[in-house]
Formats: sequence, C-alpha cells, structure tokens
Amino acid sequence: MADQAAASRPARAWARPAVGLAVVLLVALGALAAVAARGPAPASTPAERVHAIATGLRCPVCRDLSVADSPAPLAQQMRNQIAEGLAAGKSPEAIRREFVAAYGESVLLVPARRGVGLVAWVAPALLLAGGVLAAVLAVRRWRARGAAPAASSPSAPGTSRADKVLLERALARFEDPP
Amino acid sequence: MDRLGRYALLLALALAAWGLLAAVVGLRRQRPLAVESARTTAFALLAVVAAANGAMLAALLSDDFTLRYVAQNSSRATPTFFKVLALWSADDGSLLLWNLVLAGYLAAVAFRFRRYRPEALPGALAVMYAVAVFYLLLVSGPSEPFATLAAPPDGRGPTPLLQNHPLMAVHPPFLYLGFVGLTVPFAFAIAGLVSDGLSDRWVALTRRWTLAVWCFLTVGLLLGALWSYSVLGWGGYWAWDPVENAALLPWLVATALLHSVMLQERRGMLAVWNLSLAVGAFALATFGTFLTRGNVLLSVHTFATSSVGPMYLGFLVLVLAGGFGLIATRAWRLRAPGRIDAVLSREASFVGNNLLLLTLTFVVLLGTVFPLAVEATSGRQVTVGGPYFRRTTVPLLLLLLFLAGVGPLLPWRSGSAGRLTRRLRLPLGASAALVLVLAVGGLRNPAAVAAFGLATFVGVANLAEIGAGLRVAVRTGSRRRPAAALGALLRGRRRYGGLLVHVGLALAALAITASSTLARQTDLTLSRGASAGFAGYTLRYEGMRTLRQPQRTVLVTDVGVAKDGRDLGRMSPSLNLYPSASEPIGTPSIRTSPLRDLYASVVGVEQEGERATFRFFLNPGVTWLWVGGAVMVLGGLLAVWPTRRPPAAPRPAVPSARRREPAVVDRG
Repeated sequence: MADQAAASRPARAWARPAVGLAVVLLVALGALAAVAARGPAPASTPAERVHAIATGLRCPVCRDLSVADSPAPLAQQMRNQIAEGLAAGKSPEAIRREFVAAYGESVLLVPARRGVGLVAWVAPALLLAGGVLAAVLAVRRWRARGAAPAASSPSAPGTSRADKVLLERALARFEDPP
Repeated sequence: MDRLGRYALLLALALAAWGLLAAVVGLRRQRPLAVESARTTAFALLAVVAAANGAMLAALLSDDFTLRYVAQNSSRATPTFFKVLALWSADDGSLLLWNLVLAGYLAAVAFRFRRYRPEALPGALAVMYAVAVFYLLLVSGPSEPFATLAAPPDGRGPTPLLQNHPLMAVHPPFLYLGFVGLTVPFAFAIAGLVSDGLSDRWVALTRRWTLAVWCFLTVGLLLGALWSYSVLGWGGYWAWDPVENAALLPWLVATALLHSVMLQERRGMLAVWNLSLAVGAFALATFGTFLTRGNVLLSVHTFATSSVGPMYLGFLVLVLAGGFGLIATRAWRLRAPGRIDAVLSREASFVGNNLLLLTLTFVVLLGTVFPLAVEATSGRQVTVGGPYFRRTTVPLLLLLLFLAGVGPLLPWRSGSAGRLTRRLRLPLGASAALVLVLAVGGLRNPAAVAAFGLATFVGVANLAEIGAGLRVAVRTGSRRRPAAALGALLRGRRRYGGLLVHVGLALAALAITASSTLARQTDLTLSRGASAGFAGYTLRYEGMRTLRQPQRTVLVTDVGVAKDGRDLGRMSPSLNLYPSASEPIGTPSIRTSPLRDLYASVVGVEQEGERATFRFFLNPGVTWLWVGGAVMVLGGLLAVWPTRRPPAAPRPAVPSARRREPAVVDRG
C-alpha cells in the first residue's frame, strides 16, 4: 500500500508539508477567531431591530413560522407593535415580556432556560458528552485489542470475514449468556 | 365503488394474514411450500391493494360524492390533475397509498428473491406481512376511506394549499417510498435475529435496498423543501415544522446506518449497533406517520382529524419493545470483538459520524416532542421553534461537515500522517483561502464563515478524491481517456457514489449557509404605478388582474423589475381565493438565477388592487440547494446501481432446471 511506503519513509519527508498545513490551518482559525471576536453587526436600522425581535416570536395563528417570516396580517400587526415599542424607547426584553403577557409563554420560539425548559437545553449537551465519552472509550478498547497479540483474537489477520462469522456463530452455541 | 374498495381491502387483509401465517409456518416447520405460498401471495396482495386504490381513483374522477372521502376532498370544479392528487391529500386516502407502497415493496422483495432464497426470507416476509396486516387493519377499521354518506350536490374540494402546486404530485409518494421502504432492512434484520442460525446477513442482503430508500427519502425531503419555497410564500424552505422534522429523523438514522454497516461488512464490528439503527429507523418512520396522522400536532400538514392515533401508538410500542427486546435477548451472540488499528482511520471517522448523526437525531426528536411532553405533563404550553433548532443543530452540522471532508481521505485500518497531509493540502488550502477572504471582506457571522470554509473543504476534498482515482485509472488503463475514466467510475461505483454524495452535500451546505445568513427582505406597500428600490432592484407595481377559474379566483399582481436601468421583465405574485378557504392563499413569484433568487409574494391588496402590500426577498444561492440535492441523489443512484459481477455471495445450491431466461445476475 502507498501509505505504508509513505510511513516507512524518514519522518522529514512529510514534516515540511505538515508545517505548511499547520500554518494554513492557524491562519484560517485566526481569521475565524477574529470574526468571532468582532461579533455580529449591531442591528442599525429600525427595520433590522424589529426583525431581530420578530424572529424570536411565534406567529400565534400559524404555529410554525416566526413573526418575522409569517405573511399573516396578525404578524404584520405584531411587527408594527414591536416598531412602536422600539420607537417609544422600550428595551427588546420589555417588548418580549409584553407579548408573553398577552399571548402566554408559548409565543417565544425558544423554551426558557429555566424550569422545564432547561431540559431542552441541557439534554442535548449531556447526550453529546455521554456519546463522546462512550465513543472514546470504545475506540480505546478496540485499539487496545488491536495491539494485543493477534493470535488470541478471532479477528486475526488471515482469518476471512466469513470464517470469523462462522466461528462466532459456532462459539455462540456453546457459550452461556453473560 | 365503495363496495369494490371495501371488499378489496378486506380481501387484502385476508391475503396479508395468509401470507403472515404461511411465512411463519414455513419458518417454524421448515416447509418450502409454505414459504413459496407466502412469497407468491405478495403479488396477489399488490394486485388487490392496487384495485382498492383504483376504486378510490375512479370515484374521485367520476365525482362520486356518495363516498365521504370524495365529498370532502374533491369537487366538480377541481381540475382532473388535482382530482388524482386528492388520492393522497388527506389522511384516509394517503393510508391507501401507503398500503399500496407497502404491498409494492412486499412484491419487490418476493420478486427479487424468486430464485435466490436467503435463509432470512421467510422471516422477513413474515415481518413485512405483519406490518401490512397492521396498516390494512387501519384502513378497514379506524380509518374508513370508503365510508359513504348521502351524496351532497358537490364536494368541498381539496385543501387549498394542496391544490395550489403540482409538486404535491410527487412529494408525498417519494416520502412514502422512503418511509415504507425502511420496512425492508427492518424485516431482514428481525428475521436474522429470530432465525435459529442467528445470522447477520441482513446487512449484505439489504444494503442496496437501504441505499435506494435513502435516495427516495432524500428526494422526498428536497421536494418538500421546494414545495415550501415555491408555495408558502415566506421566502424559506425549511421551517423546522414538526412534520418536516418527523421526515428528517428517519433520514438521519438511515444515513448513519449506511455509514456504519460498512464497519460491519469490512471489519465485522457494530453488529448489534446496526441492528438497533435498523429498528430505530423503522420506528422513527412509524413515529413520523403517527405524528402526522394521529392528529397529535396542529401544523400545516395535519389536514384532517382521524382516530388512528391510538392504534399507531400501540404499533409503535410493539415495534420498539419487540425490536429492542429481541436485540437485548438475542443479539449479544452476534457481538464480535471490535478492533481498530489507529485513531486516524476510516473506522474511527465512521464512529464519529454515527455519534454526530445520532445526537442530531436526538436533538431534533427532543425539540419536536418537547412541547407535547411539557403540555401532557404540566399543561403548560411552550414552543420549540427555528431559533432553538438552529442553535442546537448548527454546531453538530459543522462537525459533521468536517468529517464528511476528512473521513473519505482517511484510509481503512491505519492512516499515516504523511499521506493524510498530502491529501489535505488542496482542500485545506482552498478552504483557508475562502475563510480569509470572507473575514477580510467583513462577514461578521462566525458560524457562517466556518460553514462556508467547511463546505468548501468537503467539496474540494471529495472532488479531489474522485479526480485522483480517475486519473490513476486513465494513466494505467489501456483504453481511451473518457472510456477509461467512465469504466473506473462504474467499477468503483460504491466508492465514487459515496464521494459524489459528499460533493452534493457540500453544495447544499453552501446554499443553506448563504441563503440563511445573507438573505435580505423588505415589506413594501405600493400604489398602482409607484415604484420602490430594494437591494439594487427597482420594483414597480403595475396593477392587478383577476382570473376566474372554475375552482378558484386568482388575483394576479404585476410587478415590473428593473436593475441599473435595465428592464428585467415582470414578476406576478398572486393571491388565490378558494371558496372553501376563508383566507387567501398566496402564490409567490420567483426569479431564479444561479447566484440569487428575487422572490416576491403579495401579502394583501386594497381598494380593488389600487394598492398592494408585497414582501420581497433576495435569497442568495438557493438554486444550489436543489443542484446539491440532485447531486446527492445522483451519487446515491450511482452507488445503488447493480453490479454485473456477482460478489462472493453463495449461489443457490440447486439451480433450477427449468430456468429459461439467461441468468442476468443482479444481486447485492
């Protein structure tokens, strides 16, 4: 195989391109970090400020569209209400509170980060963390097995996949459940 | 017609029950004759279910309003094309189509394995017949497509949204082909589990079936997005609607399965995991139809109420308990000691792929059922909408993109850093250059910059892989260049198909990023003859026309479009007034170009069209979403196309002496 040949070459043969790649990667990550540090553009025009609030509100008559997206007349009214609120100097949070008071908590398109709503935010992170842990442990176990003397493993090189399945199946008939 | 339909469904139920019985007897008692009967019954079942569908179609076309379904979903004025579509535009009818697709898959399995009978065939037939019995029970009990009533003079007509666009002709059938198709890998997986030999051959037997089903699902999802974009008039194509999510879930799991079965085929690993994925994909497809038909949700997709919910729930519990119960009690014997030689290997990248896809599935499922769960337990109403899904899925999707670029560059078993470095040079360079340009150019959304960079990385990496493979073939091949390249492409169709899917994914990711972060929109109210500027375009309201059609009245507004003083023609967004709908339904008008779409929808008209309010969008790159999707499906089809050379699967022990046709082998 070509990669075996490459691996057996002296380390310096690939060290130079690797350094080059590392520099390229660093430049890209640096640019990304700069973008992140600069932060999103502040909503400057009144229309943009209305839009920013409206995307977080549910259009009460259409369920799956935000107030910003919905073409429904009620959504238009709500956008006007947001614009009036902003013109009167209210903060976005105060405007959101007004809508919650009028339409209930379900007018917010995102569950609150407290109470039951917290579950929706924490569960994905917990699952991902658990999954990463399980995957890392599994890969480590599989690698350790790869390093162990091959003869003791049924997946020793030279054993074809078909042989292995047959062997597994035969063994399974004699083993007791764990 | 109602009698014909009803009797056909009862006969179908009897046939399915017979098929189930024969398959079980054939399995338990080792009776080849019973298996043969179960196999051939599938063709009869298909014919009878087709007859039931034909009866409904005939009733729809002949305005037979004694049928409740026809009276509710069609009318005399409905154009013939939409009368045909009414077959699947409401719950009861779509369950008929569902049954037809299921019977079609049963017949396809029966036909495919007419000569070569794998050990798992009787069990798989039994599972598929059991599923068919359930769906046929649904249409002969709780859902009654052929229920009659005293005929009203005219029907109500289809739901306006559904008779507004011809895409409705293809979107649901493709999704059904995908959803129902997941029964096949599920059935063979279960059959392997219950058989005495406890085989895991289902992976090899159903690999191409799963791939074809994945193609159907992809097409169905794309058509749904296209329908949303060209009908709903909100300028977008994906609203994280619960029903859209329900269709996405099986696709995610099927994608995970297609990747992880390769670990089982190549290295004998993850046998139990793959069984769980097959069961999970089928369960999620069932769950999706339960969500839509069980009237659990109120969304654009829930058009009718029906009482099939509890039955679905029972079936779902049975599938989950049965499937995972079997896995828990029997599958441990299939476990093979897994082995990985290096972290920098294809194997490890597939583990990462499955981890991310499954987490993504969980997040989408959680967000979809969370409001239902909260309401059921505490009575409070919460909403989980687009912003939640974007915030939770985008990081996972970015990581997946990264893997879609790196994974194919990593060799099986163990990769060497040197080889990887060489293969990374071009894609990483291109992607870094783009990121730098975007950052200097002033793009201020880090997720968008990262997504553009990663999508470029995926596209270039996979294209370069295809190119490198074909170059070797051309250099070493004796034939002329194009022929050698094409030959190599077809010989390695599985590999090149997969790489092509990734190229399509990169295009789609670019399009999604561009359209979701760089789009602009404005609301404009214009008097007749007035014009306004938007994103460099001059938009002039020229007036309104009224078109009277038999089934609706269409208010067409004409907007002249000009850019830099050059006339670009006219856009005509319209409002459709249906007698059965209180609100008008809009039809947007879209000027598509490779780089950007100008999208206009009319929100309202006043004073007989003297003034109109419009919503204009400038959506960059949406075209490439459809192109990318098409490339993905093309890649899937390339990989699914049958190989002439039979792989080393055991041939039937006794060749049939009476076989007349030449033995064209299409196995796999």
